[in-house]
Amino acid sequence: MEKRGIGCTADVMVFALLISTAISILCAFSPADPRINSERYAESFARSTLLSFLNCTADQFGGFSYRLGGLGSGVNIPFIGDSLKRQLGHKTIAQLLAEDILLNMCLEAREVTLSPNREMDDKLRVFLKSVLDNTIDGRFGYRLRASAGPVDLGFTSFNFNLVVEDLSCARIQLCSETQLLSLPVSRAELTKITRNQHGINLPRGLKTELVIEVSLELWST
Amino acid sequence: MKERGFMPFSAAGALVVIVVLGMVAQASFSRHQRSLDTISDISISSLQAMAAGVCGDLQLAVKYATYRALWEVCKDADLHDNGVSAIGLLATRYFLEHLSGLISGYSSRDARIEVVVCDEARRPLIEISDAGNGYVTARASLPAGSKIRLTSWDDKTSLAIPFENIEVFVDSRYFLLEQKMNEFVEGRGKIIRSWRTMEYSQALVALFLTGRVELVRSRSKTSFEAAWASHELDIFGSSDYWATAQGLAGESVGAEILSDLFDGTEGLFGISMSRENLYGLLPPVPIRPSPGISVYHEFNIKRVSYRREDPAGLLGLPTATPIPIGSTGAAIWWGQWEITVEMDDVPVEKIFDFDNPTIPLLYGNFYVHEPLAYRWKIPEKRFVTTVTVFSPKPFTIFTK
Repeated sequence: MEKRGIGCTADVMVFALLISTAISILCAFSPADPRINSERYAESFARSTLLSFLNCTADQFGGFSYRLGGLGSGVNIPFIGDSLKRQLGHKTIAQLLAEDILLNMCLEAREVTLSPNREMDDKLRVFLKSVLDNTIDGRFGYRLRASAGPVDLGFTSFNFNLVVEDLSCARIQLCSETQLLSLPVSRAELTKITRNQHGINLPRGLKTELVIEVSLELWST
Repeated sequence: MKERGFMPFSAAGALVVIVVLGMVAQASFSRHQRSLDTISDISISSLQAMAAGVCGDLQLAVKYATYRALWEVCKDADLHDNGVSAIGLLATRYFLEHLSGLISGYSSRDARIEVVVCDEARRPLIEISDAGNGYVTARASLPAGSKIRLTSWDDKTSLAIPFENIEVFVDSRYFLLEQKMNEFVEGRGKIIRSWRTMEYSQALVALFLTGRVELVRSRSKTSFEAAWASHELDIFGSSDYWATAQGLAGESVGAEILSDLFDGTEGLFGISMSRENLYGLLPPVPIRPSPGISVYHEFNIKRVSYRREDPAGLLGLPTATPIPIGSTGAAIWWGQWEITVEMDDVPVEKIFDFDNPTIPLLYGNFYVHEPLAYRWKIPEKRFVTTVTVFSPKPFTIFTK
C-alpha cells in the first residue's frame, strides 16, 4: 500500500513536470512577433507613401511657388515683383525634387553662395515637411532624404543632399524605402554647367549619369 | 477493491507534451510558410515599386523632351509650317537620346531592371495635343511589345510591365500662345486701321483748332506704336508697356529701369543680357490677368515719310485742293496724304506664358525656370496708310 502511494506521488510529479514543460513550450512559442508586424506595417506604409507622394502634383497638396532670388534686391522697381514668382503647381513632387537638384547643383568643396534658386530649395524643404507631416500624421517619426551624386570628377565631386525630417519623438528606425529617379539632364548640359559655373572641363569618358536617390525612413514613436 | 485509472498521470502528461509539440511544430511550419509568402510579397511589391520608379523616369523623359522641343520650335515659330508636327519630331529625337542613356544606365546600375524596346527600327513617336486651356499632352507611342522587365535577386520573382504608351501633361500653354499669335498676325490690319483713326483724329483736331494740319514724324511714329500696343492689348490682354513707355516718355526712363535690371542679372548670371532675354527671365506682369500672357516686341522705325495725294499736294502746294460745288463759288477743301512707316528690320513679336514659368533652362551659369516664349517675325517692313480730310474752309498742310 505504501509502495503504491509513493508510485502514485511520483506519477503525479512526473505529470506536473510534463505539464509545466508543455506550458513553457507554449509560452516560449509566440505566434507572431509584434515588432515584426509593426515593421511590416511601417514598410508597407513607407512604400505606398513614397510612391504616391512622388507622383502627386504640388497642387494636390496646396500648390508650390517660389521667387527667383538675387534679382531686383538692389532695384527699386515695384512692378517686377510678380515677374520673379515661379508658380509650379502642376509639377509632381518627383519633378520638383529633380529640378531642385538641377537648379541648385553645386560642386563639393566649392561654396556657391550666389544662386538665384536658393529660395526654391528652402521653400521646397518647407513644402515637403508640411506634406509629410500631414500624410504621416504623427504615426511615425520620419526622415526623407533626396541625394544625387557624388559624381566623382577626380579632384572633387558633384553632390546634392536634401533632408527633411521629424524625429522629435523617434526611438527605433523601423524601415527605409528607396526610389531611384534619373536626373533629366544630358551630358552636354552637365559639361556646360561645369565649364560655365566652375571653369572645369569634364574628363572624357567620365560616367556622368546622375541618379537621384529618394529614401523615406520611418521611426517608431 | 482494486481501482485503477484510465492511464497513469505520467503517460497523460507525456501525451500532452507530444500534442503541444505537434501544435508548435504545425504553427512553426505555418509561420515559416507565411514568412516565405511575405518575402515573396515583399519581393513583388519591391519590384512593383521599382517598376513605378522606371515608369516615372520614362514619363519625366517624355516631359523634358517635350519641354525642349517646345522651346526650340517656339523660339522661331514663324519658320515652321506645322508647329505641332515639328515639336513631335524634335521631342521624339530628344526622347530617344535620353532613352538610350536611361537603358544603359539601368543595366549598369541595377541588374534587376531591363527596359526592352522592341523592334528598334520602328522609332517611337511623340505626338502632342491640346490638353485643354492651351496646355499640352505629350503621348509617346513605343513599338508594340516594349516592356520593363524586372527580376528579383534570387531569380524567383519576375515582372514584365508593358509600356507602349506614355502620356504626360506638360504645363506650358503652347496651344494658347499659338492661337493668340495667329490672331495677332492675321488681324494685324487692325493696327493700320487704329493708326489711321489716330492720324485722322489728330488732323481734324488740328484743323478745328488752328486751321492747318501739321504732319509731324515723331507724332506719326508714336501713333503707330500706340496702335501696335492697342492691338497687342486686344489680343494678348497685355502689351510691351516697357517699350511703349520708353517710346512715349523718352529713352531716359525706360533705359534707367532696364539698366538697373541688366546690372542685377548680369552680375548674377555672368552673361550680358538683351532686353529680349531679360523678358524671358522677368516676364512683365500682364496688364489683364487673363489670359496671363506677357508681351515683347522689337521694331525700330527707321523712317516716317508723307506723300501728298490730292492734286494741290501733288503739284507741291501747301494748301488743300479746292473742289468747287456747283456754280455757287463755294468749295470743299480736300487734303489727302499717304503716311509710310519703314522699319530697320522685320518686326518681332514675342509672347510669354506668364502664368507658367515652368521650363528649366540653362541660363548662363545656372538653370532657371522660364515661361514658354513664342516668337514670330512679322513679314512686312513697311506699313502704309492714307488719311483724307475734307473741310468747308481752306487749310494748309505742312510737314515738319
